[in-house]
Amino acid sequence: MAILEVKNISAGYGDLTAVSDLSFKVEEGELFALVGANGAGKSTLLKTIAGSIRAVNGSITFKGQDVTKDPDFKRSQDGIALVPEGRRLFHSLSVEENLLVGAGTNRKGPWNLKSVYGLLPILEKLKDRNSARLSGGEQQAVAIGRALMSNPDLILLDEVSLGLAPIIVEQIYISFPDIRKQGLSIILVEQDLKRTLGVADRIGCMLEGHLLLEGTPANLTHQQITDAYFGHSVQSFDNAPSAGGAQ
Amino acid sequence: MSSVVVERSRKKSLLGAVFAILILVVLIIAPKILDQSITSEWVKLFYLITLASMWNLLAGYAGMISVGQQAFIGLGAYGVFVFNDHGMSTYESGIIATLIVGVIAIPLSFLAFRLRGGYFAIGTWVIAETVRLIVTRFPNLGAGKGRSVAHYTSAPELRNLYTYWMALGFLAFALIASFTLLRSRLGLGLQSIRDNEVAANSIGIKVNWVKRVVYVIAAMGCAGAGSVICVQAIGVASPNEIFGVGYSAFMIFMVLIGGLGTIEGPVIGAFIYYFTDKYFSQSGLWYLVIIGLLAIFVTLFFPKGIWGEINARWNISLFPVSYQVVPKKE
Amino acid sequence: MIWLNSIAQGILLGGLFAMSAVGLSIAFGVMRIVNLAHGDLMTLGGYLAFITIKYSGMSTWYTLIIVVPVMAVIGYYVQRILFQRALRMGELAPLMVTFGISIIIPNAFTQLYTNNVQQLPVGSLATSSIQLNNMVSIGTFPLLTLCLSIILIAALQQYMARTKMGRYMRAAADDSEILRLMGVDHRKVYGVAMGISFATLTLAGVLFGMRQGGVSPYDGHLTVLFAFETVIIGGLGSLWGTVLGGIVLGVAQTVAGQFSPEIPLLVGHLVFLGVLAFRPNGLLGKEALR
Repeated sequence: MAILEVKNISAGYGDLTAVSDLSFKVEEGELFALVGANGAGKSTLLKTIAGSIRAVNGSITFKGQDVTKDPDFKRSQDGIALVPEGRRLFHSLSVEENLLVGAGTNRKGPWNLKSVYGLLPILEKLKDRNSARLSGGEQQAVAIGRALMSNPDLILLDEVSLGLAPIIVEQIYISFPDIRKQGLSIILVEQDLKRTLGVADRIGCMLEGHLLLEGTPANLTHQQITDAYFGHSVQSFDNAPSAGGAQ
Repeated sequence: MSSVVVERSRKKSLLGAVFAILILVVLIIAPKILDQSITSEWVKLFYLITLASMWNLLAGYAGMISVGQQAFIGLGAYGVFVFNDHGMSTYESGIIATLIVGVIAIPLSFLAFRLRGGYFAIGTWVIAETVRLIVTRFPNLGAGKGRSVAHYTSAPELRNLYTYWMALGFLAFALIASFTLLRSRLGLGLQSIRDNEVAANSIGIKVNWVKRVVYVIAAMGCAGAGSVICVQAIGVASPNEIFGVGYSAFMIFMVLIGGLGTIEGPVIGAFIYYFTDKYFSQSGLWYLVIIGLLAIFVTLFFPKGIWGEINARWNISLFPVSYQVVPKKE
Repeated sequence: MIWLNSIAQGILLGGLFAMSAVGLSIAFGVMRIVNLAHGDLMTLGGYLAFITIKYSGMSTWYTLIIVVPVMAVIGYYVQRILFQRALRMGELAPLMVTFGISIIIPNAFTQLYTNNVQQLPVGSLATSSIQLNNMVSIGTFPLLTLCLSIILIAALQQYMARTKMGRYMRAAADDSEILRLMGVDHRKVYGVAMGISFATLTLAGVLFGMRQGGVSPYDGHLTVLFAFETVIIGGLGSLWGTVLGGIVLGVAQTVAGQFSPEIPLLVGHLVFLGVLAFRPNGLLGKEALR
């Protein structure tokens, strides 16, 4: 059963359309990776799904309900959590306070302070430290923990590895299986193709607001993805939407 | 090779300039043609437009909300006493006072600019109160009771005439200063400061210097208006009134109704306030309550004001100050 | 020794200034709203107390039980309906709206109740005092006000630090957009913050009125300046800084009053301007003013 269905979504900022007529589905429990160059519209798409941005056209269905008109805090209460680009922690608050605010949805589930500290022990060590005084990797861990505290059904991860040392990124990716154990669905936006191919169940590639390519790591070659990423003319193959590439 | 140009309607602004000069000439000779009882009514309109334009310059173009311009209005008024007592005519006194206030505004700007946004606003209020408290310490200025002008033109027709021209003169100064300022390079800098101060700073605009120029000009315009008020009434009846925050309320009302950030807006707002004041101020203080309610209403529902809405809808501008991108004419 | 008494009175007055400033701090700290009508709302609180006394005959102290909660609810809805809309329209709009309110309130009350001072009796506390030594005497009412002030500020400090809503307020101040993504409607958080602001300013307004013998329509145009000066002298971002700021302003005014009864206000303003000139971040400031 698809936990999320996005149909013909267009969204943007004022006159700028960042996402055009885009459709895709995420199955329950799967990790769907969204790749693409900067400016492809990936962050905008995530924000539109989370409700921070209003879609101009199209519909978003979550767990069978149409949430297109729902405000962001309602979608969060329904079970969509966004780990935003740039982390965006609450800088006046400590690590633990950030986590506690994350529980603002009051949803029931396996995630609470104890289990989040269990998953990311570094957070417990830093729990009283002011969140502005953390390294990039530590902040990212807080951001993920904070999203988990809301006990979501779908978690949207926006560029979690951006600006972080590879060893830290490694640790974050290692935590994914534990996060998914409970049946959580994930949309992962990443620029690092190699890691993505390693964890994704399905991949979508975006360019200039369109979804060019969709498939599984098994039946998409690295070359195909790279071509779609850069917008090279795409040779016809089974699972590419008819949009083709731009020169 | 480009198919567009950036221009600022030279033809339109030339028309506007001719139009303005015509009106100025008409206004100058008006008291010689019309009955003085009519034209002396216009003095109030003139200083209202002056005040509105100055507040607009501060808020609409430089993004500085002041609720303390009454400091300069009062200083302009009391400045008339200071120089008039020493033998100058009331009109000369007004002009000198205005210039002196310009100088006083410079150190005050250093203080005021320590604050931003809403805190800047209250800061201007505190400065105004401080000025009032200092001025009213002087017994030769009437202390807390107000006083009248010592040496004034005794013949009423001449007095009305000179007062009229004085008010018109300050009005012309205010509008010309606004217009020139905004059309100059300084003006472009000003509008970018209003839009985003940090970004303006980063492209090399000397933000503080530009803001200071505006602050000083606005102070002078308000002082000029204040001196006119004193000269017309041949004195100051109540220091609390001339230094009162009520003037700020009227200025804000005029600019919000007329259109913040346009040259034409304050003029329209002043007309509207002039007429409502003429016909409704007898209704007591409920009239002021309505003014307050209207200001809130306009802020929330018609933020562009009358001229702003007209400008947005039909793109008319009598006195254009912004550049436009237009298709090149073949 | 007269000076010692003056200073003591100044400290007591400072407590009242601090209490009046707390609401201003919260509105700015959480919502970045500078409430130009802050003083006039204090006056409104005073008038509500006066009206309650007129129709019920209860003592001024008891009116607080009615008036403070009423103003808190008013504050919540004013924020949700009026200020929230203004916030959406940009930085200038809330200033214009609050300034509009500061014109409406004094003129409306002058029309309704004339310019005269309307009494807010203190009762027996008005004249009772504690004699510290043969020069310094502490009025019981001012002392009570100072204690209330400190208790209030300490309570608010704890509220912001330890409760869920307090955390939400601090989070909203940092990033209201992200707070919404945590399932919290930030507009409700803002509403509660303004409710608290109105509640504290009402308490301060009634106590001010009691101290001055009553409330009159234009008091607000003075008290807003005191509240604001207290915040700036103490430094933004620090609730205890507000206490210090209040004391500095209070002492400046009362000591000046020893020289001449005409200069307390002026000296207070000059001290404020001095702090602004030489220590713009205030005495205990955490945030820069710029």
